[in-house]
Amino acid sequence: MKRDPLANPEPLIRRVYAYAAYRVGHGPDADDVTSETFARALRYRESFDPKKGEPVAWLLGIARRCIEDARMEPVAELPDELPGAGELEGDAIERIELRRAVAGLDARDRELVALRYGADLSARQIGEVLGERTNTVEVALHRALGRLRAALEDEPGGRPGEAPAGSPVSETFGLRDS
Amino acid sequence: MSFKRNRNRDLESRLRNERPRPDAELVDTIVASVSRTSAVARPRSLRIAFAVASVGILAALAALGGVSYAASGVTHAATAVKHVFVSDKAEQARQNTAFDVLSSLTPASTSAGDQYLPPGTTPSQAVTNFESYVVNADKTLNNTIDCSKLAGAAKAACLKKKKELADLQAALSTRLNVAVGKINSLTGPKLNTVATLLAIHLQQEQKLADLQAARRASCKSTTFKKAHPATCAKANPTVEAAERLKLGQLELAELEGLLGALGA
Repeated sequence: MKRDPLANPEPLIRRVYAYAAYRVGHGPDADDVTSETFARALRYRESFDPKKGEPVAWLLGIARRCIEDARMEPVAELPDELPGAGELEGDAIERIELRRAVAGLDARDRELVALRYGADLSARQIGEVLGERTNTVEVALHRALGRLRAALEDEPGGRPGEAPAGSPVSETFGLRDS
Repeated sequence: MSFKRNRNRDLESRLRNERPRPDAELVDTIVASVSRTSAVARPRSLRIAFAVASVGILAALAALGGVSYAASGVTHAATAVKHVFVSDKAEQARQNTAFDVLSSLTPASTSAGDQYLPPGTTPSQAVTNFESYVVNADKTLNNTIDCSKLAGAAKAACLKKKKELADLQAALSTRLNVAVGKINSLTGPKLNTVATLLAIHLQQEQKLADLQAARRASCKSTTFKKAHPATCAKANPTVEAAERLKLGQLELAELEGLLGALGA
């Protein structure tokens, strides 16, 4: 009996979404990537081969292609209206700062962070997805974390590595909240 | 060294604990699509053809930001849009059918009137009308995309998209002509089956138009717009045309599947 890769979809949706959000920003673009990933997965679920990896790795491969197809770039997350410091909970500010810092990383670092901490893959699984050795992934992740930490520490309360104001896709097709 | 390791661990914890989470509405919609597809993965029948395609239609409509035809009344636009497009877990808990748009799309539970084409309309005429719908959606989408202010990679991507839309328009027309030819070769019950599907498609297109109109109306309200920026970001001609095009493509694929199943 063939294994259904989508037998338990909810945790997979959460992992794919978190991956997409770290890659392209939390919000409509990540929604679109997640929806499109599962639409394609439904279409091609028969092609899933458990010998080649776990369902989550298969889905992340699809998600990566969706992002590439749309040529999406990350967009720093901004609240609708920036409140004063006292009006926003401290943890919310920290969350926004963290996501801005991730969005400011280069594409390679962002990919690694998204796979490791968004999709919760191990270094070995990331290596399988990217076609790289586990050691290489571990070293690259370590360096990416260092750069992320530096970005957060260099500009406390600021906007470290702020990403472009809009992605080509969003600007072209008017899909982003202003 | 140890200090640096600890700081890395703190950052890793933050990245995990603060990992972005999807809206419950998105999760529910995808879970419903997956479950429904699993439930209909059975031997073929015409009803299956309808049901499978309905999953695709659900996905297209879900792109609007969530679907619940339980709130089909669009007379009071703001209320309806809030109910249809915006997550309301308490309301969903009261109405277990909140995301069950599929039951309203299958022939068995669609009202009798929805299963018939407008009087005097033949199936091939309905397909011709459908061609206007889907081709116009493609044209409108293409026309709303302005690449002139872009540069570099963004401009290249924009121009590529416009070219793809132009190619798609020609491909859609060709496929529709083939479909018309096949429909003209059908008679009796098989023709009636196709007519039923086309009538349901007409109903979907109307529902999509109603939902878009309701969303537009609600997003005129500053309060609603502020509360639901993601929903209102889609209340524009470009996204609306893209939604119509997506629905049209799904419907065409469904029609082709049915014609194939009928041996046309």
